[in-house]
Amino acid sequence: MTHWHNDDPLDASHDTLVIDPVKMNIVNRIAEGSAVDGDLRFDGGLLLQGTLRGMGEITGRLVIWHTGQLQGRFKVLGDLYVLGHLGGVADDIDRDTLIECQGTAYVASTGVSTGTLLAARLRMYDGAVLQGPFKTLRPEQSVPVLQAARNS
Amino acid sequence: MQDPSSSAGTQQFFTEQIVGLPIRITLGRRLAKADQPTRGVLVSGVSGRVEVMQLAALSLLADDPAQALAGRPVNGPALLRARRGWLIGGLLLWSVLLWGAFHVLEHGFP
Repeated sequence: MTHWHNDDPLDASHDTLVIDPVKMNIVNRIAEGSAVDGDLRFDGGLLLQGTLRGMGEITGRLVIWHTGQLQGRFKVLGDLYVLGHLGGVADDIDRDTLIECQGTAYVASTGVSTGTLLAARLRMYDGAVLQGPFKTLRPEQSVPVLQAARNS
Repeated sequence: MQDPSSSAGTQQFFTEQIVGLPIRITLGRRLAKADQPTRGVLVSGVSGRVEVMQLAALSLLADDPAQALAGRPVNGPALLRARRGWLIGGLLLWSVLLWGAFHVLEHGFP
């Protein structure tokens, strides 16, 4: 389990994020209660309030809402905001979930990640749970997540 | 409301209707530093001051401040303080420049 510290007086109040789907170009949504499974590609960002399983690519920002869950192998060509679950809920570590984020991964205080997370940058918030491994992704070291999965 | 007959208007209409209107969420308290000694991972966070100053400047200068801040988590009170700092700093700089210009006009170059 990860231990976190906060000793910066600037951070006395919490960070907020305005999710503006139009300005952030989040044109896709999986609503709460819906479950989508398969090999998927989203052109434009995705607001995930339901469950998404399988593999694929999201060209844009991905917001995993408080009720959302993402499992499988996905490549995010943009920033990732984790407010819900990334990986299995019941597992300590979900070895089948691998997310490659080309931008910044933000794990909010309500976010839980049990899968493997690869991101160019990571920002954690107090209370966030990062149980699965995290690896820094350098631009020249972009891991071909989908290619490897498709070839296997 | 956008004209739904245009392509951009249609896209915006459906985005607003299906994905939703802008919403503000709280991410939590930003971590200054984190360590995970058992796995050998060390993540050092930045204080955020530089980023807040950049965002404040961007939001002051941008035609659309909301666009400049879109998708960027920010500490609201810190952003307000930073904006105020930029404005006061700009005002002071402008005053000094004015004073300098009048000084030069009155006394000539030294």
